[in-house]
Amino acid sequence: MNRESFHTIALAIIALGLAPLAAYAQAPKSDQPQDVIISRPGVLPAAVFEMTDDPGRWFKDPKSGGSLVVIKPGEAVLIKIGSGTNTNHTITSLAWQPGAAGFPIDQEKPSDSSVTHTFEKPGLYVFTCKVHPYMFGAVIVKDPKTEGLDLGAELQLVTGAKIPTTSDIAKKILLTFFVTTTPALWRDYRKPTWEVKLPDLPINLGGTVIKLSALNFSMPNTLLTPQTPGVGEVWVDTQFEGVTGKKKFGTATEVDASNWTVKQKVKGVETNMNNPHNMWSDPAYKLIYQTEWFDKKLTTFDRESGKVYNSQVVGDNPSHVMSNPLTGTLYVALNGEDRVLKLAPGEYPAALASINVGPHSGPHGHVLTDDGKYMITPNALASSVSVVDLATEQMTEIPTGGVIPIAVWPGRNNKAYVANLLGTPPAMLSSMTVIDIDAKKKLKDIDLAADYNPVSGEHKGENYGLVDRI
Amino acid sequence: MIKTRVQLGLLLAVALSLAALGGSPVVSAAAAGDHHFITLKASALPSGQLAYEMVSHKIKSPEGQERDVTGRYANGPTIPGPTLVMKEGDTAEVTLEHGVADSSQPISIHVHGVHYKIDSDGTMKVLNGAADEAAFPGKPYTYKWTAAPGTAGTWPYHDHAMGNPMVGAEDKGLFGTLIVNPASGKVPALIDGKIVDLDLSDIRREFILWMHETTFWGQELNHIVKGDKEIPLWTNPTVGARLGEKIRFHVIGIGTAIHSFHLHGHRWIEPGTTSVIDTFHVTPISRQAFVLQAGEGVGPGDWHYHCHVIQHMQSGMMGTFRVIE
Repeated sequence: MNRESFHTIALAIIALGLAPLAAYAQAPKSDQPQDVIISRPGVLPAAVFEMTDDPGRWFKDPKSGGSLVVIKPGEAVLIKIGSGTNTNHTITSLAWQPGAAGFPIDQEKPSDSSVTHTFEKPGLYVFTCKVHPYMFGAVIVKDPKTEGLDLGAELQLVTGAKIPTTSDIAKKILLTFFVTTTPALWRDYRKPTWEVKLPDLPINLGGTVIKLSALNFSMPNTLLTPQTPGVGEVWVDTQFEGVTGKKKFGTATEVDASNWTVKQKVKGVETNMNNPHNMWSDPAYKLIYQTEWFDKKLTTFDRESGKVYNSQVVGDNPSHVMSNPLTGTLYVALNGEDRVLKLAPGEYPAALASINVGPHSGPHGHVLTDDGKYMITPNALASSVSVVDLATEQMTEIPTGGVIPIAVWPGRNNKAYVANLLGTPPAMLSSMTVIDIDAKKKLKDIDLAADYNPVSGEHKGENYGLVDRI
Repeated sequence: MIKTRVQLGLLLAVALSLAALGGSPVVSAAAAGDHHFITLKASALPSGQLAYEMVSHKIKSPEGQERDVTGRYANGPTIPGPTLVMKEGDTAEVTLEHGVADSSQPISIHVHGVHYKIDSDGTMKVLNGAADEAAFPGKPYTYKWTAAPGTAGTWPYHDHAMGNPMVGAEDKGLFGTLIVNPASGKVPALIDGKIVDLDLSDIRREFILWMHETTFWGQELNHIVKGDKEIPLWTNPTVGARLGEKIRFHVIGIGTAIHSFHLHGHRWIEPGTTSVIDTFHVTPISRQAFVLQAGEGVGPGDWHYHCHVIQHMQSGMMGTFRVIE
């Protein structure tokens, strides 16, 4: 090959080799990222709560392990439902700053949905779950210009009331929050006194700065032994007890009523029994039916030996279980759903049917009347009460306006009394709704806090707290 | 003369066939890949969430040239973690440092997709039977990965040791993305109504969106900026592009929930198929990577993307795909 041809060939190869390079160089590269980036970042939360099934730590800050986070105005908090909990929840505002944008926060029904919220207005915000209404988490938005942790001048409550943070009721709410979310502060009757000591932190009540420790109190722990011994036994769901061998909490405890000693504990280690909440027995007192409120199961165990026969999925957040006095059929309220599950009694209860009690109802502590005629469900998520005619399974939902109707019991003259955990807006902080069972109608509300002045704390009667039991 | 022309013809034929092997100026016979030296650290964001951050990333070519691409990454820990890019044929050694201040628990990196030996599984001895393959405070661990032929795809990497060794702490924020690009340098894409083999070099931006519980956590990998740039976009972000740009999305799930990813105004093919879709399901650690042309046939706008599960929509699991002129 002569020199000329070689040059031609070489040029040809180079040209072909360079052609793809030219295509590569087509996309202009810029040194100025600002011109080029069109994406806009979203919110990076300054604090996070992970929801768990663990007593006191239901809203858990991964940094401190506690249930209170302090942020600056303009920062965001992410409340996440993930692997820490076995169930769905709502993330619902219990108390918030009046006029704060986006409040109150709530969802129609429980789910795994997280909430990310950017807070602007300084002050205290408390969150709960409508299904498990003692799960508390709190955010304090601290104004950098003021002294102490800002609680704001006022708190808007889900009961409908707007209260000054200097009021007695605000003090009660703060104490309830701190004690509930700090297991070390829970009342231990084995000790001579109940000492509640809060940190010395300065808190700003809309201008007045006090120390949080000003709320400290001490109470004697007096245990009384009844003069007349009891007969039989009492079963208590010690729902927050931790035991070795399982990750979730809760045991069922048997107390001997003749001498008031603990006879037995059913720990549920093999089934990882999760927050046992309510029990019922069969008419022969041979079996105990146990619900798991932070899970999906109904467990049956032998009353005498504690041996677990069966643990089965019944639905989301089974709260209470009760049987029809006439037939023995079991009815399990599904607090995370809109129904009650009907099962055949026995060691291995077989599911028979679902009774719908209203959209997004979340029935909690239902009751069956002595005559076996009716089932009444307090619908914690729907501010209503449902009456079911057990013979026909026809359901009538009665709106009551109460916040988290949680328990119900029939009284005389065909009436039933429903406890509303967080009162009835606009004015009742603590209330009970009376319904006519036959007529399936609301009759009236009883204001349990009528004799209580929420600002000064003056009270004439006993009942000025949160009612959750009839 | 004839002899020379024939030789010229033969040489041209060879040159043409070599050039046709896809765009690389220098074609080597057996495609030996780059070797990546990567150091990551597991640390915490101010909120207490755990996350990975890039410490250093150097790439050594088969010819021995080294370049430092650490400047491509954001400073500090990000959720999702640093997006690592390899191509089929590359190898990597990834060292993880334990940087979570008040913890003595092991933290690891478990990767999906690429090849690795049992001692790079990123799990504890109780699971893998071989060794505790995790970083402890003061004791980093190095994993060796091979992006062997056939491992092209978008892969997650995450912790598999912290807390419960069966599970790890991936849902606390310790997760990130590994993109293994095919050796061919091309991916199938629906462009202007036709399925074509698109050159990866035509892709201007990549958007990485993780569906974590009910929040999108995102990042942009921008190829327009020289040397590439990773921009953390945090939660439910706006991802933005210019009209007509070829964009690749990577959508990955993590945690406990099942999602349904939907993007308004656009459609794409499920990679490797002719199925044209605009919504797909995402379950924990499953993923889809797809290419589209921004605003194709619909024009500029703030195009909504979100999870189509009603409760997730109600809780705000959404963002915007902003297409501008």
